[in-house]
Amino acid sequence: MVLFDVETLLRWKGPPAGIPRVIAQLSRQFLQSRRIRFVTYSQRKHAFVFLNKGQKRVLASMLSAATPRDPGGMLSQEGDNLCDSKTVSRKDIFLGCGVPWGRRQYVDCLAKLKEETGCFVSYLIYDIIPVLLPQTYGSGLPAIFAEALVDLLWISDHIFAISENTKRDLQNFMQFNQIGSVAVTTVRLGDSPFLPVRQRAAAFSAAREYANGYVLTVGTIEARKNHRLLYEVWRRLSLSLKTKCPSLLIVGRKGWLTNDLVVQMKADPLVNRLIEIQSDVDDQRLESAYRNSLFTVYPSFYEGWGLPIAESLARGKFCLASNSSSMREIAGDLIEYFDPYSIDQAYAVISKYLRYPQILRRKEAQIRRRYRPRPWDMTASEFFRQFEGRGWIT
Amino acid sequence: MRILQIVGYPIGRPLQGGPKRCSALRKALVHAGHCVRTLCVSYANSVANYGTSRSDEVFLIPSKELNDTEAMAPVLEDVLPALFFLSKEIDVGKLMARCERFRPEVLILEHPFLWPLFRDYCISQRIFVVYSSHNVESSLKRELYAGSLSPESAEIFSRLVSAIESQLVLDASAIICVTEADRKYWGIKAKKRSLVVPNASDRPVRDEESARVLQSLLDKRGFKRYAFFVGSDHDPNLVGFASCLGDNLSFLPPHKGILVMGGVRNALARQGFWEGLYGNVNQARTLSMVSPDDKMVETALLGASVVLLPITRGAGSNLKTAQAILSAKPILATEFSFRGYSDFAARARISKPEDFRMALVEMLETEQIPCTCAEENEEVLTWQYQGGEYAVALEEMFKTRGVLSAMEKSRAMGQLEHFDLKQAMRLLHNQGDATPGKACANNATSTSHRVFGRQQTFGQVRFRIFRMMAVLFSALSEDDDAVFIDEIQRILVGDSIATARRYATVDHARDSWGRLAIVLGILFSRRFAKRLLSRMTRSRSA
Repeated sequence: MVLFDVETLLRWKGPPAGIPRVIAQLSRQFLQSRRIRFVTYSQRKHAFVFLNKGQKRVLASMLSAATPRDPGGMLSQEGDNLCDSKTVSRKDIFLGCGVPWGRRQYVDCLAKLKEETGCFVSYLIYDIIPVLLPQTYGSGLPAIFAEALVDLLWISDHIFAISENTKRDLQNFMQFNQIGSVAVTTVRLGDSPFLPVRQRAAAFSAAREYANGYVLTVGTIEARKNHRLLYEVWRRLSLSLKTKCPSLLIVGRKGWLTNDLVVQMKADPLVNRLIEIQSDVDDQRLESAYRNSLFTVYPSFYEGWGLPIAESLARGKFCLASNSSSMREIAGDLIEYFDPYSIDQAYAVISKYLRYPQILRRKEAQIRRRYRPRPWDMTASEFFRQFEGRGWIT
Repeated sequence: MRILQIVGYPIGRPLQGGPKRCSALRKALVHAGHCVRTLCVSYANSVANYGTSRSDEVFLIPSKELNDTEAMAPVLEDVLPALFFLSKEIDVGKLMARCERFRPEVLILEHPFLWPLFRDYCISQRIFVVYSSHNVESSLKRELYAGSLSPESAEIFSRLVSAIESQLVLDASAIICVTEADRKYWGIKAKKRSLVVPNASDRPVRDEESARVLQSLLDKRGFKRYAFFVGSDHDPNLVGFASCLGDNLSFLPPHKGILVMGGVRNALARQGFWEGLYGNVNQARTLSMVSPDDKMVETALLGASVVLLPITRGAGSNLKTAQAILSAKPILATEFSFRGYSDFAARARISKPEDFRMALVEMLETEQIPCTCAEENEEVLTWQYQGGEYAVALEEMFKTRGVLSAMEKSRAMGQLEHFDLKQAMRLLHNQGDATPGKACANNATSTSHRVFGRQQTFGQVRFRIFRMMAVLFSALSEDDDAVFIDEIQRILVGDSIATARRYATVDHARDSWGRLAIVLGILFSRRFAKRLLSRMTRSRSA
């Protein structure tokens, strides 16, 4: 039996994004499996508890909705069925895909569960960027992350990484800090469209019109995502393309160290009409945003994977991405890259695809021909394949 | 014999290696029937760093400049009195008068730094001088200064230490060393009679009350097994810890950690060990106590799964090595930490600094078998044994007195004569200018003058106020008058001590209001204190 922890998803408010989105997608697949039991962490009981049937039903209906809601608050009620030595054995696997950092008690509880039951702990780690680029996070967070990461690596028997780059980072981190030897396996995240075909069409028609179209960037507005580069590029584009300059649509919540940037973007008369920020966008609107864009751009300094690149390609949209970390793993030569530290380079490639739409069309055709979106069910079954391949479950 | 033991710090409540050794050697001499007087010669700032007890006799060199300079260049703390004396900036007449009253036959210097102050007196009185070295100071200080001062300053002050120490070695009638290596070193420099008195320890004893307190702290931190590390706020302790264990303890599994005891905790904090990227990890993997008493230290040592001796630098030998061996606990050590105790090296797992972390994890993860080695040789590690040997040997050497003439021949002050004092003083003042603390000291002048009547940094003033407040609160409940007066004297060291003594007499400290008046008076207005106390005295006599 696999205990799948959905605590991070249940704590999340609003449409799932980032890590909660991954857990939501995996949950959709796992709901059908008899080998999976959903668990969550109860702070009051300082223990993991199983979700009961009613809660599982609510979770299922939430996940099938475009905008997930839990009107009765049923999921926030804590079940009575504790994960302990009576209900969990050493043959079971705890699979975590959530956010353990900043949650000392959660990590302690996981250690306690492992010690008491002898269960196998496998955790999905998305990236270790707070320890690699601490300067891109709020003060204090990298230390909190480092503490949780170190403990998690000590507790876990096996780690899933979402890219080869993250796997390398993890292995280097463990070697550098002399943290045991935990096996790390790469699992590729899904990027298939969020909505059923019928809803996708609706999303497409609901798109807002932009005079010169728009370029889309998806991701939390935080220093690491390098929105500043896009701001500078759009300033130049507004001067060079004048009235033909397309808009820049930023989809993402406000994050660390970008307050000043947002103020600047809104106050700058050159670009304040061209740059639009949309937060808390649901699946339907996001689908629409992807499908109606000219192309997408992803200037992040560092990523654990770079899901927006994959999502863009899955919708046949070309992407201009930063040439660092894991981002080259997603699409190889199907897309074009630039140095995230070079405004000149970014400006050159972005303006090239804006000025020459025929090149863009060629690229899009190539993507449609060659890119195979990764369905989430494949990602979900990859976990089981790993567990079975290693003989951890039968 | 009438023995005057000169120390540079108070030893009444010894917590660190140096004071412990001085205290143990003193006890051995007293036990052997000698009349021993221990005099701590220092100055206010330096003494405040240690804290005195009732049994300490402290002579504070009355010099404001000395205190100010120490605040600016604390690394030169030891050598400053000698430098100021040689530069004729301090007068030691009162100190010599006090020595004369005692009429010592033997003068034991526990450090070389004060030798220039006593040299003329010892020559004129034909006193048997013993240099009781704790290590080779000249090489130790050279290393320390190189890491803390500008190259020019490091060179000149290292030369000063070297000159003072060499002069003492030339002049002394006998030299006590802590290791054979030190004896060989001095033996080459001066063919003196010498004696090796290795550092030793008392056999650690578990205290139930301390064990209970410790266990509750360990439970809170979730430690199931821990490694024990004790050290003072002394540079080699910090350097050893950093080079063997690094700046982050991620290599330790959860629920296993290091219990850090002693002033080294402050040194680690200054280095930002509990801050930054791995600050939280380090917090979760350590439990620290700054000034535990001996009972707590011994109890913690006996409860540890591993005793750490990550020493890579320093001179002499380490008391904590002797203590670790006597505890019979598993030891993880560098080879260097067993200098002076090489006969016992088989008791420990010796590791290179780069392998130390892995070795520690292994030792914490596997149940270590307690040392079952024969204890027959272990008595040489105890102060009881070493102290007894020391007292007998010293008496023997004193009886022969053959080397006193050597000192008379070396009246020319040898190396010290050629030392460039002017350059040292110039550098000292420059050092002060370059120290960031100076601006702070200047800014705080008005506050400190108002409160304490002398120049101090803001941090020192704040520290004193907090201590004052602590004393104030304890004063209202404390029954022991003498303890209260002791506390007051400890706080008001330096030029205020006379005032404190005048005010804080037993008469006045007998009731809570008297104590309150003393503390408030010293804190805010001495005139107010005087008035209040005289009124109280009058009302009492009425």
